[in-house]
Order: sequence, then C-alpha cells, then structure tokens
Amino acid sequence: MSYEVPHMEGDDEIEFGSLPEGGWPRWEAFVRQNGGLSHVHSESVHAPDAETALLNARDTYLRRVEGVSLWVVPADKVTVWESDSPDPAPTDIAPRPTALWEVFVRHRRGLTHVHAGSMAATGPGDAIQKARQVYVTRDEGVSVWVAPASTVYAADPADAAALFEPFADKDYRYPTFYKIPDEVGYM
Amino acid sequence: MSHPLHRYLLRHADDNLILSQRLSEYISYAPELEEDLAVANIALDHLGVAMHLLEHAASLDAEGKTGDDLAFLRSEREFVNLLLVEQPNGDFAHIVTRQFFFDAYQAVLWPALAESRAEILAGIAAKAAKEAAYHLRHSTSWMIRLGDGTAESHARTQTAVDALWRYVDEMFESDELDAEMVAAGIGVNPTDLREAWEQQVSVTFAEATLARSGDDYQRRGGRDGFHTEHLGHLLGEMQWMQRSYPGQQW
Repeated sequence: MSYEVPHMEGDDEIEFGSLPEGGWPRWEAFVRQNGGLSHVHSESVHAPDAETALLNARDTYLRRVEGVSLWVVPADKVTVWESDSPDPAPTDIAPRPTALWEVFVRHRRGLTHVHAGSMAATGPGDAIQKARQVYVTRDEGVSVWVAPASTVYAADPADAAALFEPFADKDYRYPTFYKIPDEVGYM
Repeated sequence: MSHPLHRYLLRHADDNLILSQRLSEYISYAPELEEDLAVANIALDHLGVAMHLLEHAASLDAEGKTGDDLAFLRSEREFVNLLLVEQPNGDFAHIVTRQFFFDAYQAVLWPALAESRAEILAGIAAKAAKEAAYHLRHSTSWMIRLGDGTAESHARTQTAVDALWRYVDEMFESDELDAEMVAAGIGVNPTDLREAWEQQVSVTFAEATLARSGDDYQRRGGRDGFHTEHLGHLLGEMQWMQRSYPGQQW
C-alpha cells in the first residue's frame, strides 16, 4: 500500500481542464437591490449551468451593491428587439398564449435593462410585440428583452442570508476603502 | 501555557487563514474568470473569519501581541490548523474536494459555535455560518458537476477524494482542550459534528457518483503543531514580507 499523494507536484504545475469550444455559455444576471422595486440587468457571466451561473453572478456582481434578490437567464434564451432595428417578421403566431414571458426594457441608450413585468405570449415575437404595446411609450433608443419565465433561475429567498448578507460588513469591497498615497495623485 | 480560549480560537483561526492563503495562490488559474472571482471571494471570507478570531485571540494574550503578529510571526510548529487545509492545490478537482470536505465541516461547526457562551466567538460564528452555507453550496455543486461530469473530471475528482480522505478524521477528533471548552459552554465537541458531515458527504457522493476512499489510513497532528511538509513552504511565502521588513505597512 502506498501513501504517496498523487497529483501534488507543486504549485507550478496546476493543470487545466478542457472547456467547451468558445468557453462556457453566457448567462444574463439581474439584481434587485435593497429598496429597489425591480430586477436590474448587471452584465453577464459564463457558467456551465444555472446553479453555477447564479453563484458566479453572486460573486461577481453583488460585491458592490446591496443585492436582495438575484436572477440568471441563459443568454441564448433572450430575444432582443431594438427600436432602431427593423421589426422581425412574426413567426410564432398561435391561437393562444403558450408560456409566460419575462420582459426587460431599457428605456434609453446608456441605461440598463430593467424588469418590467411578465406576460403570456405565443412565442418570442409575440412577446416582443406585446411588450412594446404595454411597456414602451416611445421608441427612440429603446431596447426590449424577453425570455421564457421557465428559463429564469432565481435565488431562493430562504437562502438570502447565505447569498446576500455576508457582503454587508466587508468594507474592503469598495474602492474607497483603500487609501491612495498623495504622491500617486489621481488614478 | 496561554489562556485555553486563546488556544481554541487559534485552531479555528488557523484553519481559515491557511485555507485562505491556499485559495489565494490559485487566483488567476481557475477554469473561467467567474470562477476565479468565486475563489477570491471565498478566500476573502476565510481571511475575514481568521482576522476576527486572531484579533480576539490576541486581545486575550498578555504579551500585547496583535492579530497580525499571530498571523505573520508564528512559526510552523505554533500553527494549529488541520492538515487538510494546508494541502497543496493540485488540480481544480483537488481544490474543490478539499473545499467541500472543509465546508461540510464548517457548515455544522459555525452554527454550533454561534451558541457559544463566549459572546465574541458566538458573534463571529454567527456571521461565518452564513458564509459557510454559501461555500458549501458552491463546493457541493462543483463536486456533483465534476464527479458526474466527463470521464476525466470524474477520475480527477475521485483521485482527489482518495488523496484527501486521510485528513478527514482529524476534523472530528476531540482532545483535552475541546473537552475543556465544551465543559465551559464555549466550544463544541468535534466528534458530534461528524454525523452531519457524513450525511452531507453521502448525499453528495451519491449524486456525484463518487466513492468514499477504501483506504482507512489517517494522518493527524495539526492541532498539536505537527504538520505535513507543505505548511512551511506556505508560511515562507505568506510571512516573507513581515519577516523581511518587520512592521512594514501598506
């Protein structure tokens, strides 16, 4: 019997696993801040699955905001409509709505997509069309995202203590925590 | 001999400090940038717990030492961390497995210590419990993903389980200091934590299609300052700045 420890050659020989071509799939992350009414888009993360996407988004985007709720949505499930792009031909006409869709609207360029609500629709084209009617008042610079509600992976409120509270007392997550010596000047 | 609570705090502080240092070594090597941030976050959580415990321990020390003194100026034989946390990083499966074993332990340790009669320790434990719950969720999901992943990820994770299994018993060994702390209503009996740990491991391994190691050999000694050869190298890097430039500050 051998007690030699395998795969411990040293710090210089860390081995890399193989990734799918192009890396992990992308997920859009939405955070609702303390006191906020809606989930707001806060960039995207790469992750192999929804659970990892949620945890990665938590580590990446909750460090500097007081988040109280977090959603992730697979980016390839998000259908995008921009007010300055041509209207897509509706391809998903069905007699009645088949699923619930979440709608995110960016009202002006430079702002972020904010969760506007959810609605029943027959498909992404129908969801975009209804979202424009309900949530968009004027078209300039507007962008609408829709995604099937079933693809939204949300943090369980019961896990809020573990997911959101540990950041609260960590002042060093803010850049202002660090004193810049006078000689450095403006960074 | 120093204050028993001082020595008790050092055990848990050192576990977190050394693991934090190990995780920090890995930053920039994770499979994706997002996972790098996760590792960095977890390392910072462990460092925060270690800092609070070390500062509290230092305040009980009659020699007027600071928490930093305890972190950066103790020698290898004075560190009382578990052997598990000082093990080198190896591949990602090793890091995840080491973390999973330790997270499953701290996820039951901290809620128990949050009931401690030592109020400062209880306060630190209550905060650490929330972090540990998150750490366990993170490492458990990776154990399942890797174990039940590709043939290669499964083999690497099983190899890590087999390699690290020998450091498991040490987490649950109880000695005189533990008994003294339990009697005072301050500490918990590590042996009592094992059942919950085993349950977590059984459920996770079943889903991850991993097997417990068939090798019963166990290493011990960390709590008494007897370490594997890896700790000295870790301390060499961690303590170099303070040893070379005593009192140096940012």
